[in-house]
Amino acid sequence: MKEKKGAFLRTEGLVHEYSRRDEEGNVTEIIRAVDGVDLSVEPGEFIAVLGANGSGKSTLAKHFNALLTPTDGVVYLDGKRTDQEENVLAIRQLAGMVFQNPDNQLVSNVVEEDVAFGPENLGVPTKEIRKRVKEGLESVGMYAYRKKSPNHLSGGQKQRVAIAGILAMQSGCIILDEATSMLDPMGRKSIIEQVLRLNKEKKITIILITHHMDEVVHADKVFVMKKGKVALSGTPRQVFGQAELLEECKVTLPEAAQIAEELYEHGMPVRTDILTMQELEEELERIFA
Amino acid sequence: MIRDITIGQYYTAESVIHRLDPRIKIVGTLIYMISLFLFHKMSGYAAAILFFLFVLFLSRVPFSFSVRGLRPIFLMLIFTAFLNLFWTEGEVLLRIGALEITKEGIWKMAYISLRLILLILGASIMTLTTTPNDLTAGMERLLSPLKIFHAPVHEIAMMMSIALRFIPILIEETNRIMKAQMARGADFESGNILRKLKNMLPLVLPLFVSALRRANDLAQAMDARCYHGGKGRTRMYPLYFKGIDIVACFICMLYLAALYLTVRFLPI
Amino acid sequence: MSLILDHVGYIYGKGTNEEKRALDDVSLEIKEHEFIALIGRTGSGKSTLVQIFNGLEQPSEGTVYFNGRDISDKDFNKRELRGKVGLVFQYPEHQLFEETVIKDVQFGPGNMGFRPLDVEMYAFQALKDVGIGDELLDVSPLVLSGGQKRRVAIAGVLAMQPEILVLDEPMAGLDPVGRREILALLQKLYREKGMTIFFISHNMEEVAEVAGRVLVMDKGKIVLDGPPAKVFQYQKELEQIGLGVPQTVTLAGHLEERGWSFSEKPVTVHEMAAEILEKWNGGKNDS
Repeated sequence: MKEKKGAFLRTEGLVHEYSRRDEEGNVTEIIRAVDGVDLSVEPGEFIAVLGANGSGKSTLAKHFNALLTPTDGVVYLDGKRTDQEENVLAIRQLAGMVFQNPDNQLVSNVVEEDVAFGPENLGVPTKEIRKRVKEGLESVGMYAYRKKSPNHLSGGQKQRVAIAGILAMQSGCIILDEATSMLDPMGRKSIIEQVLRLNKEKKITIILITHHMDEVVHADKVFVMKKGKVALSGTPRQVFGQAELLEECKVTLPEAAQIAEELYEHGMPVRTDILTMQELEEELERIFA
Repeated sequence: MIRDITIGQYYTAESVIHRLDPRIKIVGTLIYMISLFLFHKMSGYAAAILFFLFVLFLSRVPFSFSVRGLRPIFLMLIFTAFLNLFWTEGEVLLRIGALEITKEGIWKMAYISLRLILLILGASIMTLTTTPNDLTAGMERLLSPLKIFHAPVHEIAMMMSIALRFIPILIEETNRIMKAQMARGADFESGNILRKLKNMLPLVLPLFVSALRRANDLAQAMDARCYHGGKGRTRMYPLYFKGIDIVACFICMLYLAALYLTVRFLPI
Repeated sequence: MSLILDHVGYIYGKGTNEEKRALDDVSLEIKEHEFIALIGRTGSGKSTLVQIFNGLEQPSEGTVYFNGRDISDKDFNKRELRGKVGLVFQYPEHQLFEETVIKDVQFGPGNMGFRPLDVEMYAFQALKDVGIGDELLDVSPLVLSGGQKRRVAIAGVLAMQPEILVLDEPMAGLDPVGRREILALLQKLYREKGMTIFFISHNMEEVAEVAGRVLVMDKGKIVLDGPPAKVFQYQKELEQIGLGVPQTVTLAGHLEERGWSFSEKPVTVHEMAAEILEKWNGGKNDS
């Protein structure tokens, strides 16, 4: 099989179907959760995938690290096909995943041993594991908690431990599968800050699956999913400029964009591609000057 | 709160006993427990008690803390003591109605109670000074020869360590669902046994669904972190014998020798 | 309906070395037909407070009065109280257990000792109120979407005919559409059914949009209490206790630094837009 080089992650005509069965085990319904997705992600990019519940964004994400394999189409991660058994470990090592429920993804009842879980599975030598665990915990600011039980940590702290576990595998990519949706605003903010920093400083590719609009304004590229398809894609500015299409995808605009939109509708000459409150503030300053 | 419940009862301290390899502690505890069945003399118990106190002293676990382990078996202790006191035949010392207290009864009560107490205390020294994770790792290594018979030693150890993490979470969840159903007027207390069992359904079913969901999530998270069984796995804290472990072995043997000599040469 | 907390305190694990104070001298009065939001950081005592309301937790200190009666009285029927003070837990969909949606919603009113016919009627009505269509009545709750499950769980409490509906983070974990649906439902119950609503939230924008009164908790105490337009003026104080304000308030603060003036900083998107438009139109008229 010829391997494709270039993009860090690429999907070609990706389709994922699953079937619902009745009590006798007969297939009653086939659901196309992902329906022909083509996308590519360059190394070091910050990608956001938006979409309402049931739009297929989580199913899509699980294809990126071979937790699911395509019904049709192909997914390449770092040039390796995800549907080939011999690639699976290498792919999962390269693309780590943080899941939605902070309680259900930590394995050990001691923080540092949990961070060590990935490298232990990969057969990393003991000395090297300790070094990576220390570095991983330090870079998410959780080193002081290394001997604690995850049961004593807040949701945000648990997600940071999960990120440390991925760093300890030396993954080049972190996929956050609605990892902030169960957190309070403080926890959410801390996770977004962490991944933004890892993206900038360590050039780690970030794929953020979320339904919080304010988290995606810093992304390089945004994909908006609707009924298993990519309905919209582009920079946040390009995407949020298309208010009507977003409405159809059941995605709401960030607050600043909502205000700008309302002002525009009432005849104020305000830019319609505003994303943040800071931009709105500058725009207002310009208009009123 | 509920999340603070620890399984086992680890006592945090820095001591030589805490630092010992868990395998030594497991085997040592087993040897100690077996040794308690090898004699029937007061002098033997004296030696066993002395050895226990010596280890307890080294472990820096307060005496009051170490005897906590006796609490759950207190009733059983009283019961067996009572049985042995009144139902042993021999030289009658005291008669209360139909009950007789015999000299042999008193001895037997003392022996059996002491043995039970020392068994529990000996085992609790191990759990007090070894984290559940170390215990699991120690068990895994000790049982690893069984792997040649295809016994799932690694898997069992993994399950134990996952249980350690999830039991407190499930206890908390039970509490939360119970309250949520009580807020809908559920009653978990009144009624006969049959009624009570039926009333448990609104608690048990959601708990079951939730446990399945968590298990599913966890399995996926473990897959995502490259888990593929025990093959080729390394460890952050591998077990290896240190100097003090060798010393501990010698001390165990010394104890056995001392026990033998006391029991052999002392009159009672 | 009236619910009064008089100097209520709550201590976890009293008498053990893990003693922790969750509520500290809370006095509070909830009147008929109020729409109240409670905000506070995780661990500030919010969940404990709402469990005091319906007697699931006994206060360590102080008294709770429901409709004028002390709820700790021996002859006070706790089960009836739980029917009148309907409490929806966090992630309430986790408590669904019956084979069908309708049966699950009947569980609560069934426990209240209503007549069977009333139980059925209340359950139907509650499901209608939360917007669950007839076609879903006989399906298993497990096959519903996240937002639908949440609404069925709320219906399960509504069907007990509570006088006040208390919800612990009813929007947690939902997508924007699901959040909107729940918010709209609360507004409908408040406006059309005249219910008293009390909910916990972390989302300041949503709180500002719907609530008539905001309570702020910090370390077991209620530190601020008033209409959102007033409470959210205390930006510095709220930030000090680790809470935020609606983004519009922050924006208004920045604009003030640039010489704008607001009689009161706007707390919702519409208010903000209206303020800006007013200035814009005013400016045009001047020139």
